[in-house]
Amino acid sequence: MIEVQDVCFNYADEGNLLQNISFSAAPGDVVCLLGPNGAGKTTLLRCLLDINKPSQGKILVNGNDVKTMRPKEKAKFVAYVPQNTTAVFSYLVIEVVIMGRTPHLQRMTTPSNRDREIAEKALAQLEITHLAHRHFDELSGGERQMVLIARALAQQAQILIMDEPTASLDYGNQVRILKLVRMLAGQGYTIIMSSHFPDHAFLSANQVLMMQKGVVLERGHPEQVVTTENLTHLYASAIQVVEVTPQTHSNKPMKVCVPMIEQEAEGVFQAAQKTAAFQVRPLGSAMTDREGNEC
Amino acid sequence: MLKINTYSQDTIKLISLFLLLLVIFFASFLIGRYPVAPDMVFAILWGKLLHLPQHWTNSMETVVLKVRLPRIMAAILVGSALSGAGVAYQNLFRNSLVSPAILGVSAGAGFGAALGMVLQCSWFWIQGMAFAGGLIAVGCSFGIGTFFGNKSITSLVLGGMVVSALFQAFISVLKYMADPSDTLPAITFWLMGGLSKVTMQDTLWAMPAMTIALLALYAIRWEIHVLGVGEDEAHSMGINIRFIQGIVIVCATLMTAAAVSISGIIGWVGLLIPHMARMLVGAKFTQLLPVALLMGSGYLLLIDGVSRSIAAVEIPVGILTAIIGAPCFVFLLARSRRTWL
Repeated sequence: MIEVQDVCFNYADEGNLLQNISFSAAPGDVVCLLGPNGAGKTTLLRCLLDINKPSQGKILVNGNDVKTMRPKEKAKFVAYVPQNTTAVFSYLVIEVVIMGRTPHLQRMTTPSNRDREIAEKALAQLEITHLAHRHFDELSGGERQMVLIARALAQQAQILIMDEPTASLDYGNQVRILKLVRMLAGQGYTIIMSSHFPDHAFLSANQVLMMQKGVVLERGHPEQVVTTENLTHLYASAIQVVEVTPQTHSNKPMKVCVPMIEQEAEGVFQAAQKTAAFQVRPLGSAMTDREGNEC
Repeated sequence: MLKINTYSQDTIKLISLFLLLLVIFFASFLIGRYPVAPDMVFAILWGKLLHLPQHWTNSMETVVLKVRLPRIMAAILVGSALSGAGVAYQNLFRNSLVSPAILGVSAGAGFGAALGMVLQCSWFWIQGMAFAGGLIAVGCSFGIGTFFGNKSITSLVLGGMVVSALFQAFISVLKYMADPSDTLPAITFWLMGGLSKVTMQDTLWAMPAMTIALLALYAIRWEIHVLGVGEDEAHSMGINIRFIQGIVIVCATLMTAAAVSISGIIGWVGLLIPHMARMLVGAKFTQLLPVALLMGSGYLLLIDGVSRSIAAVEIPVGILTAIIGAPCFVFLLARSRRTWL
């Protein structure tokens, strides 16, 4: 269980990069952060990981304030799946996964055979045991993402923070990661992820935070929040949410987002802007972090 | 099957390196002007260890115990300290081009030693000033990175570059002012690095600092290993980043300063050996540290052996480490072609 209460964040001399963010997620929940570049998705995820320290508000993990938790304790509850690891040395896959055991190690020791078994089990669970003795830096993007998820599983934390888990993956790998996210949620993990694809919210999430300029515009179930009007406003381009019925046994309808590239869509866009259900509060102009990345 | 293999393979490599070091250790006693037979070396070492009655000449004992043993001990200590510091720094800065001198310890120690020589201090004080100079320089780098930079590793490295440049300039000033007939050559030789002046007392002075620092690094070897994937990820896996970084910097600085203070500036070992170790056992720091220590001490012993046997006059070790090390490195680079970097 993770609760975010009224969190604000800013670097020393700049305006708020996050403003009054609140939400909570229980075991089995998948929270998807949507928003344009610079909306504050990554900044928020970094706050949840205690890398960024909120200037205001609280983040509670199982009722404990992360600010007061020791790094090791916190790591037993919250695991991080980065977009891509920043490792420069050539580690074996199994070595990368075993690193996930770090919060469970006694001081001055290295992982035991039991830790190794847990890491191997994590690889087996994701069906990537065959990668164990490959070099991590020689893997494809999809394989790397799976290994980093395996590392988070080996960490045995119930809350997984995933920063754009589908970024720069091919279509098949994106689908595989989304299936995996649903499977993990089914096992009781809480997953908080960011995405640039609103479709992914329909496919995997049960809670969506729509963020813009550090503010949560809309929060709720994807069915209610991911709408033509909200998307069009959020991304400042004409996007329609349409219902389709794929040929399955149940014939259950699905929603998909379609960007309107044709000229005629311009009219829809303007209409949607007029009827937008919310107003963006103007904030400080600088919405990029120090390196100029999106945050 | 595979996992048993990798585990025992690493152990085998470690044991063979240790045996190799042992061989080089004993072989080093045979090198030099005064010939001592191998069995005599064993006899003297065993005899002294077990207090057996003396059945060798006094001059033999002097050569083995007073001349060669301190030098061999010093080579082992300095070699392992430089390699250990290098491998720890490379993991900390996540850059395989980093050497122990990155935060200015060598430049600072060089300045301290040169100042001692210009002031005509005794050898003991010159070593003390070299040690202090190294620590002060790293302290300055750390201060610059923390108070003027943004406390990141990058600003720390920049601080190190600035401090190194500054102390190099100070060394030049001292060289310019030094008496060209005796002090200037002394400074120049010291900066080339060498073990010819080392006494048993120096070695014993340097040993505690190095041993404590090494043990501390060994205690946090897993944390340093995890830090190799980057600060954010290591933090999310429960590593106290600042704490571990601090310990590594303090330990590596102590080790390097102690090594430099007895041997002068021996370059290249702290850069070359970590690479060779990584070629041998991969990127895992827990394996890398002991392997680098063994290889570093063996390498410096070997080079020191060459330095006192190849020519009538002794060639400074600091020159040979590069002359022999560089081609070796290129050869290994061509042979392996694997991305151990």
